[in-house]
Amino acid sequence: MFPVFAKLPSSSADGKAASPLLSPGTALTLCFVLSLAAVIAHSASVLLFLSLADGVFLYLCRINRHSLWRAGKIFLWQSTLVTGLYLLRFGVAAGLGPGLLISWKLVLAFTPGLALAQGIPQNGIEKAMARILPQRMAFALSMSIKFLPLLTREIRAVYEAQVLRGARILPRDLWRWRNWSDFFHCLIAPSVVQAMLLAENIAQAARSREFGRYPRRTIWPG
Amino acid sequence: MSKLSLKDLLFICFCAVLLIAVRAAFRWRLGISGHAMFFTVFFLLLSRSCVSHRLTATLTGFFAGTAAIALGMGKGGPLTLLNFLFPALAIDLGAFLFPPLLGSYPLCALVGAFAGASKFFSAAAIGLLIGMDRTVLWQRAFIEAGAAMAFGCLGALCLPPVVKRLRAYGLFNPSGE
Repeated sequence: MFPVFAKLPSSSADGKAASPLLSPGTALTLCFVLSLAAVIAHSASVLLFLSLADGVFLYLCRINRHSLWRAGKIFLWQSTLVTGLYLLRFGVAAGLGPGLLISWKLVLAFTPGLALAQGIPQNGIEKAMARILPQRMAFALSMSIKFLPLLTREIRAVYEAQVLRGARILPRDLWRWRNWSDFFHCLIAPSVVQAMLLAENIAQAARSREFGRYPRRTIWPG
Repeated sequence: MSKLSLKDLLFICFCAVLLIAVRAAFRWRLGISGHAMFFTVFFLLLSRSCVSHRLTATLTGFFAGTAAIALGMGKGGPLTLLNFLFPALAIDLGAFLFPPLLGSYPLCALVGAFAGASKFFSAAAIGLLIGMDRTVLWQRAFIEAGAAMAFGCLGALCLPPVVKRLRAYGLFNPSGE
């Protein structure tokens, strides 16, 4: 009954069956460097080299064919749009080459991100992020990710209770605009309150464990 | 940043992660260009309305971008951050310029459209960085920004009823600071 809206990509999803050959930190760094290089590169020879590097990166991240095909469809749409605009602007003779070159650069800029997303386990990326972000921010972000399923369950409980009370918030009811006020008043506002309450509880639990009292002494993640 | 309590920081992160989750859920089902701006603007405005800090929306956008990369949502790699940071900055600027923004339908619509228009800048920034032809770059940016403005406006219009209810609960700080 409750619409499934908090379904995050799982590390066991398709494309992640084989374990990657890179550590998450290395993969994150390589992703950043390769994307940046694709953005600032202008010559075809550099782009060719980057294409080879991206191919190796995809292999090291163990991306499977299904994920590649799914991403390829998005890249195809982007490339068609960009090349089409170039053809409209400059004509076939003058526009085809530059259009394809820019499309190639866009694909190379986005491919490392795809490999990182599909190939590296989420928990590894989270730990790598925790090394980059300040400790307090990394703690808050990681806790919110960890507690998202709990928050979703609480929102689901609110939703079901409100439906039992007669609120018009079923998916079929939301096709009518007049029922959207019920959706905001009966589901969104109480869900915000639940999120605030959960944040307060987590903050209190962290404080009771002396989190943040000594910047160098509190160890997280353990 | 230093003035934010851990509770506020956690709430901002919850808004960011919920934004990513909702975008993930609707990415494949709708397939309409720019529709993600609906959720982006709504959650950024929601966090701005509940946490009284000048840079709340920017922080939410930063966390959302970081979470998108960490959770494998951002196919653009590090460039994904731009998709969240530009609308977030637009919302913080709007809240700074129009203090009664969060309870007003016209102002919310205006700032939502402004935040949606920021898609133009992120598309243009990426295009400029990769050396795209200027005319094609502007055309592509306009195509991407047009739908984002409409959806951003709709997302922003969803906020006033929620703020009204939160105000009734005594959880909304009208000063914004």
